[in-house]
Amino acid sequence: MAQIDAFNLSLHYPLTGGADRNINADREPDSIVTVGRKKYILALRDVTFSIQRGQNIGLVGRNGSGKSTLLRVLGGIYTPTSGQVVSTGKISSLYGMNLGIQPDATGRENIVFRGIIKGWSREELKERIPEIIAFSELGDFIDLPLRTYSDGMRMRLLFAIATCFAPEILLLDEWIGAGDANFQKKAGQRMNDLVDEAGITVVASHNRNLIQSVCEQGIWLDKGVMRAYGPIADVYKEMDAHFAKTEA
Amino acid sequence: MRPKAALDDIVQGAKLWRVWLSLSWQEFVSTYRRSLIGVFWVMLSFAAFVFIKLTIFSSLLGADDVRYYDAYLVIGFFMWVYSQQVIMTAPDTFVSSGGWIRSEALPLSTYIYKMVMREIYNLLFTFVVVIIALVYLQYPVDIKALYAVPAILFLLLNAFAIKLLLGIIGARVRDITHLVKAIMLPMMFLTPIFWMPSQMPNLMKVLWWNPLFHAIEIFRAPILDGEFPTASWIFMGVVFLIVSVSGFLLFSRLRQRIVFWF
Repeated sequence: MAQIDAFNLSLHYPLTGGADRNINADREPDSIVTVGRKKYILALRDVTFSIQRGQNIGLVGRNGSGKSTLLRVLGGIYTPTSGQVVSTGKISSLYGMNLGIQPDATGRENIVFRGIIKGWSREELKERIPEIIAFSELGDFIDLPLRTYSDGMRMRLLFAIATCFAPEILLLDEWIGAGDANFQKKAGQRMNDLVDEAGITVVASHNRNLIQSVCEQGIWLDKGVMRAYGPIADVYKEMDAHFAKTEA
Repeated sequence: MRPKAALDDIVQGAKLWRVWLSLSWQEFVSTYRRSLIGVFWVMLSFAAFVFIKLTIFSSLLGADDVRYYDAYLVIGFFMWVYSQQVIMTAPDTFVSSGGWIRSEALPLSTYIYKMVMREIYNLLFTFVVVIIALVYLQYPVDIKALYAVPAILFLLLNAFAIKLLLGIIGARVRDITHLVKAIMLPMMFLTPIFWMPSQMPNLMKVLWWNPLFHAIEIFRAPILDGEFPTASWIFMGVVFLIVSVSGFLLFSRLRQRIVFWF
């Protein structure tokens, strides 16, 4: 039974590796704090929400608004600076097409690596591999190294792996850009199936058409603050009104 | 400071042996993929190095007992290559797995185990050359040579500690990779591999404090002389204690922050 509850989530992203020297806290008082000699980006500020089972959430907001950071907190990659996330359900996530892969290994080998990480047994792997290959429509490319794949092919494979074992919570970050219309439809269908089985999907994207076609609910993040959470149409309306006003 | 969570990370990482075994083997093999003789390059390049060193240094330095010197050089160089590899790749332990760290919520120690496994593959392949060389030299090996087994296991444990410590520092301060490389080059000559301590007694008074000497000695002495080098074991024990404790403390403190450094 999937559920995600976030209580007062805040994340201060440390600026390191020289990035801290090039940024001026006086000029960016909104997003940057200085603690001692260290500077942090306020990537998430006091975010609280509760996502129930059977919801498809679209995470919207401008570049740098905290969408990817929030997804990584939900996926357990980032530990929040304060607040906490309580989630129940098996999580599967896709943060980027170049992450979590071995580029020199073949598509088939990469399925095995990710399967092992998810804890699939040898038998489960054997059972799932043909299914993943079929869904990703890669054909003979499956036995070529991943570095020879186009973005679309890579995305298809990773999406097929991430969704094949019926995860209860699916976290997707800007995944759709590279797929063709046919695959997008197939992927949207699979996400809906997941939600029908009382799962949760959270998709971060700038693609409004995509979000509106697969998500009923939306969360709008702006500079790390959650400005709206509700039916996706209302969320977009609020967001548009806000930017129309501030940029007029 | 969260020592319990850090320890838990190391334990949970060990349980993911299927992950680090498969990833490390794929990375090891892919280095040689598309080459004709594949992983045997590891052996070949090591063998070529050993052969050249034997022909040059044997006549130059091993005046008294050529066979003893040759065996000394082969075993010492084998351990040198291992130690150098362990230390030079250590600062990249987490950096080279950055993509995985930013996309999978796995224990960070998984990537340390993966790196240690790659050292083991290298060890196994190059050790074949050592055996061939010792057989060819008809070097008499005592039963006490088995003391080398706990030595190598202990050195692998050391490798884990070194990769933990330098891996964290190297992820935060990227200069460390270059610094370590710069240090290791002269160390090859400051560690008795080509020359013997007995040949430079004065220099050895200072170089006795070089940990690499003891790391090599605990493995080399049992095979070469049938001896258990107690002093070197104690020295390495202290080194291990310092490296592992400081690595663990750093890990307890910074584990959750490492992901932000890529």
